[in-house]
Amino acid sequence: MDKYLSLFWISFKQAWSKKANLSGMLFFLFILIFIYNCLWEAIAAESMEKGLNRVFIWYLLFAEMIILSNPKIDRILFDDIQSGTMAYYINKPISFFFMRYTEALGNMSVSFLIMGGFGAVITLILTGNPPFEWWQFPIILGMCFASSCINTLLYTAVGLCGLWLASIRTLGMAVERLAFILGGAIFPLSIYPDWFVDIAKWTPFYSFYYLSIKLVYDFSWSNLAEAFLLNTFWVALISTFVVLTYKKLTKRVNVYGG
Amino acid sequence: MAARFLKLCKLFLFIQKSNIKTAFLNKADALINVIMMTINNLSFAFMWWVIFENKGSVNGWQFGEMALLFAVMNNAFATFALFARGIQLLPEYIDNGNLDNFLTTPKNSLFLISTSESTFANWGDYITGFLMYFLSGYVNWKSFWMMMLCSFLAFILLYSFRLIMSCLAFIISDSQRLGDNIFMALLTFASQPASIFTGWYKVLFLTIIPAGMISFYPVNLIKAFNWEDFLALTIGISIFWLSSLLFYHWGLKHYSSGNRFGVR
Repeated sequence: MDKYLSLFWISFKQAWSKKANLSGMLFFLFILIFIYNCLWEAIAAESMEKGLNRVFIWYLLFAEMIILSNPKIDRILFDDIQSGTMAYYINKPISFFFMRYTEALGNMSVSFLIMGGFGAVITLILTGNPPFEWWQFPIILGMCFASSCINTLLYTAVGLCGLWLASIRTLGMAVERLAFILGGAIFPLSIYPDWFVDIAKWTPFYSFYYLSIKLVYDFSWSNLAEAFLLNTFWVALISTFVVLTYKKLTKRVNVYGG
Repeated sequence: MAARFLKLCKLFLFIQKSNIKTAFLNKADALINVIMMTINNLSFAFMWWVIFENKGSVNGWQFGEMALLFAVMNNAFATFALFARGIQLLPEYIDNGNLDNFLTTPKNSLFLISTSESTFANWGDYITGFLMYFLSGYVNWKSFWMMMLCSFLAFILLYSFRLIMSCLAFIISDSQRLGDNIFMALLTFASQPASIFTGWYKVLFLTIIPAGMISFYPVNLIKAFNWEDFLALTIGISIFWLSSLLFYHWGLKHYSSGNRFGVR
């Protein structure tokens, strides 16, 4: 366990030291919050619904914290598989999969925390008080962080698809776009038609994006429990896929080499 | 001059032919990628359709205007990703010294860098671009040719902006993600209804982050051509184009070789 913890900290410190990257990410987050604030203000003015931007911009902030903190582990794993680098690691006394996953978590944690701090200040300035009580803030933050860890696991699964695909760039993009739409990561699912929400409920995005982030404007213990239970179910399912694929992958590397 | 240009055109066609051949080494994979990209884009359009269905219009913009914006944006981005994506890798080339390989060839280095990378999946953007144009409700020959011209101009702007961002690597090391994020910010700005920006925001939208040159002017021109908007668009894009070239050549003068040996 100690070695994985060390890997987490090394990756955390590395990500922390890349100031140019972090500034670029914060700039992008600022632009997103600014643009969508303009959009919701315009919609609110037209439809006479005051405070629309306050609810939806806080919602957007948490959604973007999950999406933007993704450390692109899918591309790293894909490169490892395609270039054969993986073969150098699998005979070491450390699990190659856990090594990459903990590194990704370290990287993700830096982005998540920095965006959380910066984004909260910007959103507070632009829209005023959040739609939730402040005592609920750590719980919502905790749920969104857990969602971010699951999101990283999902992208690990995408990266492992490099076992069958010649390129996973488009698959990664499709997963990201599905998260936007089916997870309601830009516009909450509450504004979509019912038939669409019924479809979204069958996907993992509904649980670890929408249900977790929805706590921002609809916090209740029952909603929290629902999000927690569904997230656990999807973690189990994604983990099973990852374990089976990883086994197949190591077998192939052992037989054919890297 | 003309002979040199023709030679570059020939080389460009040869590179594109090789890219397509490489992509078709695995036909199923290539087609799946194109289909996924199309679904990707259509899902984004669906999201906006839901907004306009729910809210009617946003400061005068309806789904028809949004569809025109998607048409220009997708066509411009497809052209960038298929024929000039290499410019996105310039910071990497500068950081690891690979730029030397491009500088030592007798061909134009910027041309070689630009065409060094292509993403086949972005043919899906063209499919979406044309589909969105036909769904916009503004379909006629005049608007079609204007859409094509505006898409090309938007491509020049995307290319120039990305080149400026990539050239930051001449000054700041490890700036790949910084450039990517600022470029993404431009794309995000450009893919919103232009009508939501008013007052000083609109000035910012048309100058420092020139997203309005992809959304505001092209949509106005496709709907109803007028010389004022056309001149503003072409002059604005020309300024960005010239600035990016000047920045690139300034950067080259200050670039110290990575001392890496290689032949391209």
